[in-house]
Amino acid sequence: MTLLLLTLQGVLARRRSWWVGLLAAGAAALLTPSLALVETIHDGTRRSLIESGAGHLQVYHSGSPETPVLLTGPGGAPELVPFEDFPATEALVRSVEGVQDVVPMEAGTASVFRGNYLDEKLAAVRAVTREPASEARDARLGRLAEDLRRTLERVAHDERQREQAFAGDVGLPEDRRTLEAVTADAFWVRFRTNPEAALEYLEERVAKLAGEGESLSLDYLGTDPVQFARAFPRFELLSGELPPPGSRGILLGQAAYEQNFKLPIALRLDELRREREHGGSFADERLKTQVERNLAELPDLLSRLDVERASALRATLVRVLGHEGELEPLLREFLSVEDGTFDTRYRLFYDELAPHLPLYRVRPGETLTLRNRLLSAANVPVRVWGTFRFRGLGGDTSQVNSTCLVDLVSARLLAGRQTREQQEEARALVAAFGMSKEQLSADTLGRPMIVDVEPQAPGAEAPVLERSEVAGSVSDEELRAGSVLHAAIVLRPGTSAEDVTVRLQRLVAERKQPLAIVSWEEVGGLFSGVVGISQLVLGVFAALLAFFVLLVATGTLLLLAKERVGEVGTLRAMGMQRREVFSSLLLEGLVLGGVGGLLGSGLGAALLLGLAGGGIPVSDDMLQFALGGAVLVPQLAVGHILWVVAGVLGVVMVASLVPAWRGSSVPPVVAMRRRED
Amino acid sequence: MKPSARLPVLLVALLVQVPVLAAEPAKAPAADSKAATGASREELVAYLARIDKRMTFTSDYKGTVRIMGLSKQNSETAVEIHVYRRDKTRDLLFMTTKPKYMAGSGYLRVGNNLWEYEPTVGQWTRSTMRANISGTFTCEADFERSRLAEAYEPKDEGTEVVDGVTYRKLFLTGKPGTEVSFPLLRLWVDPDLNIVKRIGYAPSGKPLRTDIVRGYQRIKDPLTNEFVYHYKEVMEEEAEEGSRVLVRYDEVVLAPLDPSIFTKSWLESRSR
Repeated sequence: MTLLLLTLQGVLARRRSWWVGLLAAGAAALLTPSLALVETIHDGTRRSLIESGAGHLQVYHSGSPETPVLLTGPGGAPELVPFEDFPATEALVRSVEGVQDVVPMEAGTASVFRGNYLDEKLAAVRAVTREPASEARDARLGRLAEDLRRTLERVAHDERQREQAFAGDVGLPEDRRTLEAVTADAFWVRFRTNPEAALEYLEERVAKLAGEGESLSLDYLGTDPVQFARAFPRFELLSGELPPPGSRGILLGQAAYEQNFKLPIALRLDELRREREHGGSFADERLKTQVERNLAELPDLLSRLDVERASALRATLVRVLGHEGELEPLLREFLSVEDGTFDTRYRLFYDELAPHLPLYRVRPGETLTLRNRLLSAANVPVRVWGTFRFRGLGGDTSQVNSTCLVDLVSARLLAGRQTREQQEEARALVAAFGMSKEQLSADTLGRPMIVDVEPQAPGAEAPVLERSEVAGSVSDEELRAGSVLHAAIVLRPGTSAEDVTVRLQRLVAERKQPLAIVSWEEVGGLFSGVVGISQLVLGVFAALLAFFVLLVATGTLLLLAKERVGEVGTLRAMGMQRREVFSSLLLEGLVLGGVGGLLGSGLGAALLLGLAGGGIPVSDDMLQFALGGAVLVPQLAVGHILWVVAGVLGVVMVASLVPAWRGSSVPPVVAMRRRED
Repeated sequence: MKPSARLPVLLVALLVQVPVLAAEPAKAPAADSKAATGASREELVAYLARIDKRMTFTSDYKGTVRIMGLSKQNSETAVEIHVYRRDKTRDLLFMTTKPKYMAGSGYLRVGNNLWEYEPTVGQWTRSTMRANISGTFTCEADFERSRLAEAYEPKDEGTEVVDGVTYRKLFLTGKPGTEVSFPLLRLWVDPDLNIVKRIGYAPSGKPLRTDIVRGYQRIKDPLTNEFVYHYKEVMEEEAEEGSRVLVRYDEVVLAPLDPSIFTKSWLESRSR
């Protein structure tokens, strides 16, 4: 007690020692909110990943050269060995206490090709020509032909402009002649008598003049979409419906749907709205450019409209703008938005104009043809069932909402893995062809066999084949028993992932199963990296701060110890032991560090709660995913304060060791002599 | 080669990492040529033209191609394709008849336009790239007439003697502005002008595919009354994946084809 009183007296008597306490308080005030923020970020990313597909754990074949990922990078999907028997694996994993669900999955990237607006328009006309002959069909075809002719006249106009820009291009005279031919009356007379031949001509000679078209990339997760929606609480269906159990098809991520399939003019209006919500003004060059791009793309939009839609759109524009006019000038006026008109026009665009526009290139219920261009895999037509997003994880541009869900069978086909039925057919065909695997051995150079063959006489006409429907449903056995690459494990609330990992690993070892387990952090890839980086930054910051506190505190305490040599000598002369002096000096550090740490932590916590207690709004889509939602609410725990106080205390204690040792090691005689000096 | 066609080839090339390259780099010729013939460019072009002529039909052509594939994972594929071609106009049509899930799909080339047809959705895709055919890594050029002299600039790489047979080696570079499946090509040609082996490379020099031509069929072209040497059996190996396919050319019919065959409507009418 005496020692403590003596220490407190020492601290109170020497105000310079308070600097050490202030340093400790400052460090604690900085570290407490930082630790809470990093912990909140970690928790946010953890929840984001776990609740949007990663699950708490992922299980995969241990013989795989790579580990599973949720979002594929530029290198494509990871190379994984399929489970030997997924139903058995699933049963094994489900038997572990704490496991709630096991969701099969595989990540990949597919491409969708879309042609230019003429390709689309000609395809629409072609579809009408295929309808059974009727007066109504002919009337519609006539209207479409008239509309097509106007479109081609516009293309011809563009082409003339292009010719001026690229004079001397050898391809242009031929293109010009073609355009002149298809905008002449004679061509449209022929169109009426033989529309299919005229369409062929337009498709072969004219469509390419409107551009090459483009290939879109879609990131997908092959899974059981219904089970996925049930297992991951962030899943939110936005349009369409969930595929009925056992159905094949795709659910498009809302961001993928908006970015890839939405009418570009509408997409740009959405971007303008976002910019304005963030304080943007049409005085900004960026916003002005967006408006100009919309106006520049009007011919493209007009070319996509058939005659019925164009008439309806014009009537709507006349009504909302309050005056007559042709469609293009009316649209131009409507889209020439500025600060005062944007909000009204934006609302009118969606309420009044959008119903007459091809707002999306594909809608739920229609079919998309997917392809994996990196592999020699066949086309995979899939029905679009609807669109979805992960609730609270970014809006229409969020990367996580760019992921689509396809059924497992389609995912296997996209990855070049056949269904069992296809494998059986392939084996039968190979036998029927009279071929065998042995013939595939690589030869060295050798002279080829020459056989004399009589050309066959023209035989029967080419066969007419049964058109297979877009696969709608598939048996549960085909879904589950086919190859599965990895599976997400979702745990029951309150279950520790570490405990389940240990239990599962024990079971896998007992059963000698070739299974490996990874946590959500490894599956998260880039996003987990954000957490790692924030933790690293905090660690470096804390280490630098500790080093600074250590240096300054040591220097200050050494100086104080030097000043106190005489006092120490007197105390020693009065019979105080060296050990007691050492403890007293060390206790001073403890008091300074403890009080400073507590006050600093309290201050940091108050600041955090005062400034950000209500939550920090997160508008950026990417950050929303990394931070776990649209609002970051720092979670301050008693543990954070204890950790910080303990850390600061530890640093100050270490800083006190040398001064305490130096101060206590002075012999009384020397100390007394110094005092006399 | 147009930029639109070059891009996918470049992308493929970037992804290709193959040991074959180390063994057979696409370096400039002559450096490894032990017995260079020293033929002039004109002689080499004439040599290629002779190869082309031997392989070109004047008549319209219809044939059935059967392909067996084996992936690196040992899974089998089998495809049967009906090929229709008219070399005079470079029209080409493929219609896949087997397996069932691909039946009715096809490719149509008219002039420089290439379309792909997906019968399940009745959808045509105007392709900007020279795609692989029917889920295999064979490509369009495998089924059209030989255009080596037109499309490539040849360089002599001397000869290689195997089992007493002297094979002539040529290294070909695709001419600018010409659409070719392989921007660089190395050929081994036997004394009778039969190509016995070829390796296609990306512009970077990475090998993409190696073909061994195991057999030719000799057919008399009814229009010219001359013999044409048409492939009978080719073994192709994809460098990237290590997958292999065996391609057999059967049931060749040399007779005039109805022009309506090279139309979208015709291919559509083949699926019910």
